[in-house]
Amino acid sequence: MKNSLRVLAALAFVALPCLAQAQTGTINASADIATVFTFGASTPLTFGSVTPGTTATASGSIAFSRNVGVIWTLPDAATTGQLTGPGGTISPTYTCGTGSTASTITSSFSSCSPATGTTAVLTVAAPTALVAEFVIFNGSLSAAQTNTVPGTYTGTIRITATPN
Amino acid sequence: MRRPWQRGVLAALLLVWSGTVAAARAQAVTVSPEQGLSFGLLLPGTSETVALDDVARRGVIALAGSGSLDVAFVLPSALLSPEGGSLPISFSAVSAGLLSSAGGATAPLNPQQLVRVQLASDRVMHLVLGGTAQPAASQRSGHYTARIVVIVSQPGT
Repeated sequence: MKNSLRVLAALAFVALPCLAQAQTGTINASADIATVFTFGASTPLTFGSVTPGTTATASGSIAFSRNVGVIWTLPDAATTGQLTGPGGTISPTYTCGTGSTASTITSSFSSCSPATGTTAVLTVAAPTALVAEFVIFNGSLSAAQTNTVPGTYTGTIRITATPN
Repeated sequence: MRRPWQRGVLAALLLVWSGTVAAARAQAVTVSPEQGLSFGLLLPGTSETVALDDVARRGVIALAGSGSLDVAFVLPSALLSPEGGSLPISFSAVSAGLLSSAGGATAPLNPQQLVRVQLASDRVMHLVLGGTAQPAASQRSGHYTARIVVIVSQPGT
């Protein structure tokens, strides 16, 4: 066979399959999973009706869901949870922190009445999954504190969560 | 000196080859990705489906050319995050479609099978793709992606 024939035959066998090759197109698929960072229902901390000169305790909590880390602060600092009423201001003693249930603190805040409102009382890294937790405040009043002018004493516990 | 039969073979090959090339060129198909499949912002534990008529979020690939075409999708089973997270996605037998004209009806296609479509030489047709993302309740926040490949070939090749 002549060289020209060989070349032509080779071209025919090579070129035709190339022209008939499959083509591909690529598109991306994407999704963004939202950051979950939200407070839920709260249970007020209520000492109820207290007999003067006796001790009293109460517990309150607020639910929180997140899938990122969090920095907890108490913006009211040293006045967090103070009660005011007819007899002036009462400062209950608190223990505080977070827990997986509303009743048990598993991670305690470093302070329930920090020196400043920007002090991080607890810093938690991002979880591996969505976390449903509770911020819990347990309060107690001493007999001396309840031995005061009768009336209603109220206050607010403000908690700030900042994504970490 | 070339013998007559050799010249004949040469001419025949040239005729066949040039004719086939011309035919192949006439049926050349252009595949152009136009839009990714975007599920958007999802909440953990809440599935989200992108329908074929969701023009803003469905995936779109343009096909230009003529003749029959075999189309196969290479579909991922999950979107992945840079941190290694995995977000399951799924496709049904009607998750894909062929849109013959703008505003026209979408003919459903099964993206899980090889499907044959007929192109029209006078207009660009569009493959569209929807799907369902199924983030777990424990899905971590972040950006998840995957690639969807469409392979087109002319029947018999």
